[in-house]
Amino acid sequence: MMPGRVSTTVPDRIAYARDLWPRGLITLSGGNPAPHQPDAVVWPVSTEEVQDIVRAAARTATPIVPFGAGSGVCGGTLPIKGGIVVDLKRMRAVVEVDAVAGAATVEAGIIGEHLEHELNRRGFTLGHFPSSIMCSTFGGWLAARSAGQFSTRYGKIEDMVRRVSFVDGRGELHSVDASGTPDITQWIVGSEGTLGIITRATVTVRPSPERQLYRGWSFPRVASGCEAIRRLLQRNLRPACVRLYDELDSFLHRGEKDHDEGVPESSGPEAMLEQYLSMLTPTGKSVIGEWKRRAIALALNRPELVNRVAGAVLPYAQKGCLLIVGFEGDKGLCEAEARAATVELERAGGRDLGEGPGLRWLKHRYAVSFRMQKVFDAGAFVDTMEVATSWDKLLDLYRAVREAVSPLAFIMAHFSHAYVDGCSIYFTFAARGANTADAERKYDAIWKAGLTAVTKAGATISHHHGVGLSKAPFMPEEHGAAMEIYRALKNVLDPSGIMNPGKMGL
Amino acid sequence: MSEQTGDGGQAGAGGGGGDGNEAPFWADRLVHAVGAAHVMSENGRALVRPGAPAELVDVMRIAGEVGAAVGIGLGAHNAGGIDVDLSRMCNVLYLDETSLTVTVQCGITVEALEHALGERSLTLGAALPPWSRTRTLGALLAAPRASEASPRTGRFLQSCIGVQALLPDGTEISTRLAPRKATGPDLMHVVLGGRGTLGILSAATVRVQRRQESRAAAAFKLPTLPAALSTARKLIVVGGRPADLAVSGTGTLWLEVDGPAALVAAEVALAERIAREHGGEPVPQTPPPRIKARPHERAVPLETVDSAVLASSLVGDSVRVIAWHPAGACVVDSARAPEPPPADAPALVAALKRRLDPNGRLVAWPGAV
Amino acid sequence: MPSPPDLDTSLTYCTYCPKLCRHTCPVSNAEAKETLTPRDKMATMRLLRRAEVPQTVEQSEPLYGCTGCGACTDFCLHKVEPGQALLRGRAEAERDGRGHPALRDLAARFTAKSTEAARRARAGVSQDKRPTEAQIAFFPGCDAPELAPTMLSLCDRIGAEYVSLADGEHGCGGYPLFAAGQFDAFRLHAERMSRQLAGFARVVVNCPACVWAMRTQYREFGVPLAPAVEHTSEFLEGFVERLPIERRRAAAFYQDPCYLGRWLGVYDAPRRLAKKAVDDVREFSRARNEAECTGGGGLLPTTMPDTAHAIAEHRLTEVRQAKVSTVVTSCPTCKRQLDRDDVHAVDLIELLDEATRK
Repeated sequence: MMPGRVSTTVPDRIAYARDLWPRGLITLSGGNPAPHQPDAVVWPVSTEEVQDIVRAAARTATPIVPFGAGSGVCGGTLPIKGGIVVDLKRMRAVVEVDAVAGAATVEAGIIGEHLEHELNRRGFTLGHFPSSIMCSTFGGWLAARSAGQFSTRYGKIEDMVRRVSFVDGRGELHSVDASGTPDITQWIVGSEGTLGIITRATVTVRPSPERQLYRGWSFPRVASGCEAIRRLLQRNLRPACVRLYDELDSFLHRGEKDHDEGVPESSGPEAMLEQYLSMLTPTGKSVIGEWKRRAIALALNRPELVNRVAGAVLPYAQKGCLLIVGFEGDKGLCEAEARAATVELERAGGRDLGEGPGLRWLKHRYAVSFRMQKVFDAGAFVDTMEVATSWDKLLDLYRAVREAVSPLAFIMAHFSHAYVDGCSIYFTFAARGANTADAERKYDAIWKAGLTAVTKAGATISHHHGVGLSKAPFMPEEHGAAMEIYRALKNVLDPSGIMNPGKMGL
Repeated sequence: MSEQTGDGGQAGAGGGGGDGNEAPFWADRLVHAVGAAHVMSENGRALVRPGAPAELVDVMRIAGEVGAAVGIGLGAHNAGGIDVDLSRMCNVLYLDETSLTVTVQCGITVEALEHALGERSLTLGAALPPWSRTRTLGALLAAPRASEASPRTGRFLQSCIGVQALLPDGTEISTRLAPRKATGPDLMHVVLGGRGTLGILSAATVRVQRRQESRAAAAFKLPTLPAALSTARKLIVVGGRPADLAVSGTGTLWLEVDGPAALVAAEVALAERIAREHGGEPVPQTPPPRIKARPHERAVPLETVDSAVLASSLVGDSVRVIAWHPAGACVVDSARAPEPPPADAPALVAALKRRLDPNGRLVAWPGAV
Repeated sequence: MPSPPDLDTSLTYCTYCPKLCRHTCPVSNAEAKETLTPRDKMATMRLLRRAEVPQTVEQSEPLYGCTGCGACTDFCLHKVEPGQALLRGRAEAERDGRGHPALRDLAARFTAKSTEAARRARAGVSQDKRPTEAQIAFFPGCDAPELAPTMLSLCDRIGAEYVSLADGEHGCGGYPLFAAGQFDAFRLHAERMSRQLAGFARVVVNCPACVWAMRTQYREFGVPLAPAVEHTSEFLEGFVERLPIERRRAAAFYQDPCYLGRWLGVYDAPRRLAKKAVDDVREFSRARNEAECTGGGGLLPTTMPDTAHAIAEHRLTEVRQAKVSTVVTSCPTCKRQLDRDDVHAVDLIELLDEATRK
């Protein structure tokens, strides 16, 4: 079966023993590169081969871990019970682009950037731009309910799905339609390999935007910024992107050498990591001042103190919160929306910072991911917690998580992925352990404190990173009695329990 | 009586119960649970109207203990079992005007819900067809129809962000409310569209809309029906989001847009540009004639809108294509009788049903159980 | 362009990177294998150096899954150069006796091929075009020695009769030895070439990889080279307005050779020349600094021949979709990789020769 596309070699087993779960990186930095090795890796090229693999595994009760590109941050693809990793990247055809109906049918294993490139060549965009777009697959997006940076306009991946084909844990192929009753696509999307292997899907695509208009705005407080976003969306405007950085996040965005006011050097939490980096490598090129460097050194060791000081002082000490708002699409609609948004944001107390910050964000929006490396190697760690709730509970959630995590880690946030009825909060936290074991302990404690606060605040524990291994213990609390439905689905689709075992709190 | 599935059809197998004209032996227990005024029993079956979730739980428990099947929205068809009518469970539980969502019990009709929302200048937003206004929210969510969709909100059930429901074994579930989640399968989609066989919806949280700053309507006459269909489809594909959009069998396209004035003007201009590209001309906007009785409906994916519409042999005044949304539309034909309910549940639904409801407690999917 | 971080830092950056450049790597795209992503190849090298994995031939193999195309570097914010670092890893593997099995007799095969190439180049060129010293000499490289007479006759036609053949015992600049991580052999060869080419003022080399190796790596290895080294396209660009064009091809894609483009920064010269001889020079959707490799570099055709072929096939997809039957390139390796029955790969020299013939 599948000559040349089955491997049990040591290098391959090591390569498939990790994903991007930061806890795994802590372990790796401690000198243990591959604690969870699969017994074999296979690369099917067709749905039939996927079915053959699953049937063979079901007969022998061998665990199967479906694998895209391994960019998950929750341990979702770790073969913790051994078995077979099924790497889908050889199933990567753009099967059809229906220009008239705005739909694309695509195999699961294509790398995100390759998919977007192929669509662009045909004059279309998926509008899905996760910061992992270079290193994640279409199937992975579907499996974990991925969100792109432009989700406010284009939706999350589950909003774009029209049809999903998958092979269940018995090796049976299903093709389900989103217009079905019930909508079975929504059972499979987000199941993270526990119910089957997604092999292809049909999704909505849009013509490449004729126009992009991005601007920066400044708001005095997180609360007023959030309020402005809510009003934009509830007045029927659909920005491609809205991102509001909290006071600390905005503050760290602002390098002294920046001439544009309130302009991010780069985007998102990477700014903080940039600061970390420059602190950990005193010789490294740095734009930050000595006093800021000292503040961050203190932050690592006494997070609570600094978080408190930062929370109390920053709103007064500096220039408020940065909001990036971008519109794109049909030229006429895009320009009209941007005009209407300007009126609305001014009415909400915003100060227009011009196109600079917006374009800068657009240009550097993937830079985040390049900043992690040194943090881990220096014994520190950084991770992100992306949670979501309705507008009425949003600020309570923001405060609750900050309060819970502050004693343990340095924490900051931005608000992105806004919807008519609510918004996600993207917390970035960082800390350092005395050694590997200490770092792991601290890491676990932070997550426990953070997610317990999230659940208590009535919010969801994940907006788009998924559950995998790291959030599995929090699933019973997240779903309550409805977990019974998930277990029933599992039993129906994967009666022998071979699909990605040990994940998702099943 | 309140209709949840709205589809009628034959009942499945009933559970225990008496014979002849007698009330079933367990009718007293139902009276005890929901009060005599809300139980009607005869011919070995009962109709109950629980007034609160706790009463619904009691009804389910009694049904389990006596082995009676529970049907929701089945009317007289659930022989030997318990018909549940949720019309008393029609309260607005929480109106969140900040997040623009409403949590409401599922026995409320669309009409009543719109009335309640209207008092706060809110609306469901989705342009629901007039023949859906007498349906209950539970019916809309459990047995959705193709016509219940709009360009902006998609299919109506996509407006739903959370549910409270009872599983067949009586377990109460309440899904977590968030605008989007990535915590596994979206479990509410087992009950949504489940036609009452996988669980009974007791309450749901759905998105609502505030009345917008300005509103406009426009109409265009296209030379042919295919040209009108292409215009509508193009408008959807390039990202137009009218509040409502319809195409008549004779090639007229209507749309309604709302939002900030600048956006409203741009949306109408976009529609006009696309219509002109297809040989169309603006015509004075008169609302399309109202379809009074429930017409025949057929869902068509966007990919095959033209062939599906043109294939219906008698394209003419009675045909209209409505409920356009990013993935499809709905062809309605007022000259034809409403379509029969689907005969069978998809195989996966049936398999899940066997798992969640091994004793066949919930019997609402006509012919499937 | 900023210089890359030192080797240790580079390995660390890659090890903790979320594989951000993986989508650019021709080898990991063709193989669809995590083990062969730039991140994992670099992580493997780091683990080998830290002795955290077995020191075996098998464990060292991923180090050879690289064409050196540099696409990953172009994308990397830190400008890490896996295409260079991995060659150091190969050298360490060689040193420890865990080098790639397919490269075991490379040195001998190299010498045979290099001298045979020199012989073939010489055989096609008349005596008067083979001085031992001259202002400008042409060095065709070991993959296409047959281009020597073509180039020299083209030079005659465009008024550069003074160009002669860089004649000598060897016909290769030594890139294959360098790519194999056989650094000692490479240094010896560089010294040999330094002597062989000492009499010329300028050498026009047709192999981009050898242009790069001779320009930058001879010096790195402490070997002086008297003549200035330039690529054929750079030399011919000086004649672009004087080409006596007689006929033009209708349409052709232009393939950027990785070493010519990303490593030497030459993008426009070959395009300007090609446009003289082709009505419609098509661009790949990924071109210039984003151009995809054709799989011929880094000795991949020797270590992973099927993968090298698959990479080339992938590159040909757009050509076939466009129903174009010609690809112009300026690299003998790219030409060899892309030439098929249905798609004809043409070296810039051949293209201009054909276009200028009466």
